[in-house]
Amino acid sequence: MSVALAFPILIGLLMVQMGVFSNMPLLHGNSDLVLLAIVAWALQKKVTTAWHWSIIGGLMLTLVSAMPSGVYFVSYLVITGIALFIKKIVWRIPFISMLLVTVVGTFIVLGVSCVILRITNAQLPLSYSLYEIIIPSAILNVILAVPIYALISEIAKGLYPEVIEV
Amino acid sequence: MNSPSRNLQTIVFILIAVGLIALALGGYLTSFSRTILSPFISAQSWIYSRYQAAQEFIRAPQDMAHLQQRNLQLEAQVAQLQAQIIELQQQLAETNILSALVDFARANPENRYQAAAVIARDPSPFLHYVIINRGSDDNIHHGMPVVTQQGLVGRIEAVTANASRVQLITDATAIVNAKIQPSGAQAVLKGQLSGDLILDLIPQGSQVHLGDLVLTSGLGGAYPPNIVIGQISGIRSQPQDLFQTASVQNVVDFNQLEIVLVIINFKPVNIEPLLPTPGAP
Repeated sequence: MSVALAFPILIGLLMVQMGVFSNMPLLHGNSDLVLLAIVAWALQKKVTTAWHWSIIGGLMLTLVSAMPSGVYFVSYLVITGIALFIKKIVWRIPFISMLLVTVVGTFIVLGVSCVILRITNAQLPLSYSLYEIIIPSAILNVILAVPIYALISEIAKGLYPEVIEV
Repeated sequence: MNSPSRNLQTIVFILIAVGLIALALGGYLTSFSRTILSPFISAQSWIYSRYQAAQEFIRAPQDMAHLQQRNLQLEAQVAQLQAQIIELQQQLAETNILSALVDFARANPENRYQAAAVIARDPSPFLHYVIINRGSDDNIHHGMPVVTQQGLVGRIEAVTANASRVQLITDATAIVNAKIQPSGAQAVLKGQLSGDLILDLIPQGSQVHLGDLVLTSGLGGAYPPNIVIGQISGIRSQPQDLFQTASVQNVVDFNQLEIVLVIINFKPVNIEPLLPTPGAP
């Protein structure tokens, strides 16, 4: 069920990201709602399908983006691994973990993108990429991490209700 | 049977009445009637005003509810009309764009165009690509040039049945063979990460000036010739360099792309097999 739910949620977020948020950049940075949803899902307590969401999100981005194949796929898998690791060691404060993984995840996705595009001969000055794209994107993602985390938490609570011990 | 005294009484009474009427009509009783009627009129006014106040007090909640309902109705109507105005303004803007595109298509009858709406942008901030709502079902193929009435936008990079991905000329990997007017110098236009355009490989001896027009040259077969790209906005020329470079102010506002035209009768030429490969004899 939770895997099937990934499709409408991630597709919906991707459509909003491409249609709305891509027109509202901060300097030249954009938000990545799919990344935020994957991280938020991975950090939920009872969720066991984090890898599935990561694979679905990565495949979707690979299909729609002109970025060389595998960039999003591999980046999202790495970020999911980091999110699950963080969840294991600091499980009591998932929201702080969300912000931390969001920043790290943004740097990973955009860092890998930058490296791959430079290998394919694109002219990407490093300092410009960092100050005009990667850092503004991270700021946008941190801002949007709050509502996305709240949304995903509600969905997770609906799917995995808390059992109250009497 | 009436007695004579009773008849006399009636006649006297009628005469008095007629006399009073005659006096009143003649205006002789005005001051008298004013004095007599004034307290009655004042009393009547006071009673009626009290009645009206009491009536308003009783009916006020009913009126308030009616007014509130009416207010809600009017507010809903205002919101509806505002939405209608926005929709009409949007339609007007769209019509203006379409009209300009039709004019452009008429001015360039050698090409066949397919209009398409921009529906999304690439999710990666490093890439300058847009998605349009026309695909292979509308005879759109890989490599077709995309323009607006202002000038060159880019080329089709990927196609599905109902949508296509367009690489903008501002993309960091985009390269367009260009020429400068009026000098006719050939150069290569490169997109930048910032969305700027740089004209590179301008021969050192070429006369290039600010404001010169940059057009597609048609060399390489990727774009048809003579599509406007922009104007020279800055020149960098060092005597020790082999080539000059220039920055180009693009004519198309890539942040406001809404509707574009795909040139569907242009077949790009793939010259890759003709390019020399390193190590080949």
